[in-house]
Amino acid sequence: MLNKMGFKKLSFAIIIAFIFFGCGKDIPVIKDLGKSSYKLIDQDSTKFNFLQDLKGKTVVLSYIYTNCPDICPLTTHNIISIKNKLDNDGITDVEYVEISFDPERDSPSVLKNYAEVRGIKLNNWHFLTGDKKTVFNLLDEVNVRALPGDTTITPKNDTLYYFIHTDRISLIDKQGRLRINFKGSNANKNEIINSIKQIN
Amino acid sequence: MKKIILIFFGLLISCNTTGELKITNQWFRPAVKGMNTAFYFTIENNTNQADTLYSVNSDIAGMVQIHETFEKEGMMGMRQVDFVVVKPNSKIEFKPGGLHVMVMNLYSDYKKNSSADFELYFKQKGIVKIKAVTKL
Repeated sequence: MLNKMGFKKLSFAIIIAFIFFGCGKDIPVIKDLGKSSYKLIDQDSTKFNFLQDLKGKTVVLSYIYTNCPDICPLTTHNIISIKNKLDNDGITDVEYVEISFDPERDSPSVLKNYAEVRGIKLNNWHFLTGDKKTVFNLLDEVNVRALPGDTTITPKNDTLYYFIHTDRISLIDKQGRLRINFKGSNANKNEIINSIKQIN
Repeated sequence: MKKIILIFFGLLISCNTTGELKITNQWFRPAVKGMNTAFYFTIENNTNQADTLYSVNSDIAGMVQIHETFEKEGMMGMRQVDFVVVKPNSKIEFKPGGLHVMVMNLYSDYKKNSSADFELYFKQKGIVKIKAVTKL
């Protein structure tokens, strides 16, 4: 029989155990991407197989196009903040991946400029582009949509177009399973950080 | 003579509001040549009359437009806005994820701590010239 003091201690231990071990099991698997293999290239024009080259790593994944002046930079900057916080907490074994859904304009050098102008260190951050069909097959698999929107003609006759697109940051676990999606531009950064810590 | 009187009264009206509509917190995102960026600021209208921002211009890019970000069926996009009315004694923020000025096809790189000049065209106030600096 537990006395009053013993019961209190047991309750306390259960709560502590729940905090440390219980929460991680609460994030369900959305989709297993473990066998996904999309041949893309990164900002350095190096071949990159998504997701095979990321196996065994927790991945923070987002979807952007670099001509986007407002929404996509917000997503990128949110990930910069998330990465800085995780780095400060000593969690450095996470890979950050941004896939362009505008591969026709987002060549490796364009992606590299996008990274450099933001001071992004590219040791565990990959900007990916590639063949349009491959990119959109990948987007289909993760249920991300990107549709060309308004087109603007500049006075110099240049054509500018934008996308209406899914605004998302996704987390993939070490087993290559898509675990959770968040809003990208208006992200709850603390929630994302906590989720990364749970699945990592 | 009529014209002179009209100009005089026009100047008198404009003098009543000069300095009371102001632009604060202006900045724009770093971007490189050929790309787009967004220009943000706050319009503080401390006058007793509404004013309308109907155009923004800058020599740094091929085209400049007022835009807003919108969400539709879980997707995000941007569209042009013809004008923005600022009510008397109120302020409007152009900020990430909302109203912004789209600066398209930059002529040069604008990296960290770069600056650029912009002209904001108001119906009542006229042209407001400001300098903005890049920040992340």
